[in-house]
Amino acid sequence: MNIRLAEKLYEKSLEILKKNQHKNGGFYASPPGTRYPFVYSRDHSIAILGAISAGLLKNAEFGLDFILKAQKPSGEFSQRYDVDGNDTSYKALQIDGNGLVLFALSKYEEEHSAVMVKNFYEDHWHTIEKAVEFILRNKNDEVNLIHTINSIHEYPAYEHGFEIYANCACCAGILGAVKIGEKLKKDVSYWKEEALKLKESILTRLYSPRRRSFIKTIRVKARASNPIGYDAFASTVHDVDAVEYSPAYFGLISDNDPRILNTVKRIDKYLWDEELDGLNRYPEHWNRNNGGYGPWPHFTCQLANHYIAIGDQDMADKYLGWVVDMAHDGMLPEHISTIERFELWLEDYKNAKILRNSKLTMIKNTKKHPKWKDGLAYVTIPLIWPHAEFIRAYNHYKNTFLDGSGVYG
Amino acid sequence: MIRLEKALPKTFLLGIVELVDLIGAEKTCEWLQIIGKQLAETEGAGFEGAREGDLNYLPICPFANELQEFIEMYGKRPEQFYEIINKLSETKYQTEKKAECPAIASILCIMHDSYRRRRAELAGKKVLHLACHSKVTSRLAYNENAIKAAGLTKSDVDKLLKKSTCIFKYV
Repeated sequence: MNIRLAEKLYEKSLEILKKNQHKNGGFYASPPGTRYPFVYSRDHSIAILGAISAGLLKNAEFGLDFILKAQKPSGEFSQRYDVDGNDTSYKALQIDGNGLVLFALSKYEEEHSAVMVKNFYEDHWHTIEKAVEFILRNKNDEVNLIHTINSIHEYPAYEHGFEIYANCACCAGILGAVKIGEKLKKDVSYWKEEALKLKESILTRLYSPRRRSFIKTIRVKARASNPIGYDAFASTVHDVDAVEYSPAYFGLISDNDPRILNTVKRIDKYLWDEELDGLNRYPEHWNRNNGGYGPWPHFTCQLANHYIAIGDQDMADKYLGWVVDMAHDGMLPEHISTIERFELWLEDYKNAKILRNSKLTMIKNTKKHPKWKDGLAYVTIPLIWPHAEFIRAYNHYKNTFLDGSGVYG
Repeated sequence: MIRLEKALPKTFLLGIVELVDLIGAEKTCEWLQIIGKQLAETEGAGFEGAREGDLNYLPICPFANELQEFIEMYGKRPEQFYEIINKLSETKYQTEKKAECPAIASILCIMHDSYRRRRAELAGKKVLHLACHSKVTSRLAYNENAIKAAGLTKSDVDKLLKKSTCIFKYV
């Protein structure tokens, strides 16, 4: 990996992160005037994690304060908000948002463990309680897993049911809330018990010993179906998905656990893009990449983290180096495709008459981006999420492989 | 054939028909508005729809499929639905705040408008419901006072209606 370029991208990523935090505290998913000028609970939480990693703790606290105050009366954190914290979501439940907010909160707490900002947590304790209770209300007691309709890909066809990313985010989020609660001397024993049941279910029901891999989803239509075998959707999704790495991403098990090592091996084998390099999020035949099939920098950064964690510098360089190489003017897109794949996607969506008006701007912007002349489709650039993931992965890389001055140790 | 696990929306719509017979159109209309408001309270402050300039719109009606299935099951649009809409239209022209009345294209617009209005109130805003086009009932409803209050013309609204079913403005 070119360290000089990586450093430049890191500095630019910090700048982008700071610049895209609204004065009310919310991180835009993409800058105002572009495709996602809203505060999405998921993207916002990752931006907070990026800020924590970079030591921007004031920005992180500001972001946490924003999202905690925006909680819905039910305890849910919405799909997205406007900059004033008003719900502007248009999709069904995405419960990983609840898990992610709590997870980010607990990571922030870890950074403050020496001098815990007690008032901050006391002030928000009722919100934290409601967030955990909302998650637990969506738990199916037959299988001890959390039900959702959408998860990280906002794609119910593959995510409706008990999905791995949402379950890991929620489990890690509750465990994080337990840690905060214990420090505040609250009785959080019930949450802990429930989180441990959930963890056990993730590691058994969402793991396939024969495939030696975690799986994506147990499809179940209704949260309260019991027995779930009679649910109308009852089936499993075992296609490879980058987020099957989630049990380690959220710290539920070690990156060195054989279940994770083999899962990542499968992800690398089937999702590394043979033409463009970089990591795809799921198989091409799912056909839901707006702008054409291709690799995503933020999933590539997530897996880079795995290779860093296990000390495999060659693979870490391969993954993180790709992200560095593909940045354009220090900016990272949502994903990258080729013109051929872009046109194929466009044809599919036009023929099927499922091309929404809202995609027209994205199409126009992708075609006028300078990379189009190189045969590449840079879709939605910059997106804040990959910058936050890059900050996290690069700091991890530096702390593991470099001596802190940009020199290989 | 009614699949019981999917019967609840139809039950609700049939309940509206029965309620008009039991307590009258005006009271049923109030009941639908109360439901919308209470649902809004559970959701909290928020805004709906895609944006086009300073207008918001819904590309599709969230209730259209259920309403379509109910009408097919019932065999026609129940007379009671017309009664409610007519009653609301009468009320609309009696109020001083005509711009703040809903544009009603189907029975469920009453509940939906009340829901949207309350969520906007919780966010410190008001709603001008400019127009609604129900593809189920083929009814096209405008609130011309709301359109005027929004500083627009009917033809401005018609342009946006080509790609939407419901248009409103938060003020």
